[in-house]
Amino acid sequence: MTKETVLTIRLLAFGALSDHLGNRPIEMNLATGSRVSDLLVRVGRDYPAAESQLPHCMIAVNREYVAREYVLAGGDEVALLPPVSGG
Amino acid sequence: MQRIVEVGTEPIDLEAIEKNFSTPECGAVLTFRGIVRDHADGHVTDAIDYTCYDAMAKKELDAVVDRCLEAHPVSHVAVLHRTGVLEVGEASLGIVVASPHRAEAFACAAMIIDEIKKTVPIWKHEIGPDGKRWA
Repeated sequence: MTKETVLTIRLLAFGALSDHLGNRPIEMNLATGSRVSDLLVRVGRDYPAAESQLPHCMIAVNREYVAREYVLAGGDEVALLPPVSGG
Repeated sequence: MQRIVEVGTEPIDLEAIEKNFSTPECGAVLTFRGIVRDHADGHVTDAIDYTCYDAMAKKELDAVVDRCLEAHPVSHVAVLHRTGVLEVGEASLGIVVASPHRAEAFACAAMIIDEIKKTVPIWKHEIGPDGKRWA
């Protein structure tokens, strides 16, 4: 990917997903125009053990819940949130 | 109206809140404590490590309280969720709701608990003799 076609996001994983992606932010380069759904495909490829959990996750971008169609921008903080279990 | 919404590691103490919420117009002051129990899904539990998405948990809990107050207006509301490692018997969640009549207080408190379990980014990591497991 050339510099013009790349955006960098910061990926965070929580709950059971942190077992596979760790507790620290991961910087990830994606093609410009990538959607959350594209990111999830990439995460599933890079972290196969996490793949089965991804369809059940909610996604937050910059601390707001978003849909799979959401188009990402450079510098976004993307959080993968497995089903919550507070209370 | 008094409103308290907190996510933090400090022990939950509701007594002062109950006292402050007992204002003259309130005929109902309802308190709920969610307590760490000693078993879950057939496993023995010694403690639960509550983790959260710090930057988002308080904001989502505030949004839950907004929705619940819209659906069930009450006079005062407090919701406190604790994080970190909590032993069996410790409170992980405290809710105090005060209203003129009991129906609104019960309905509001019940909706708060239900909504917390849908959207507030907090997770239980149960600790027991079998090791740690995500709830």
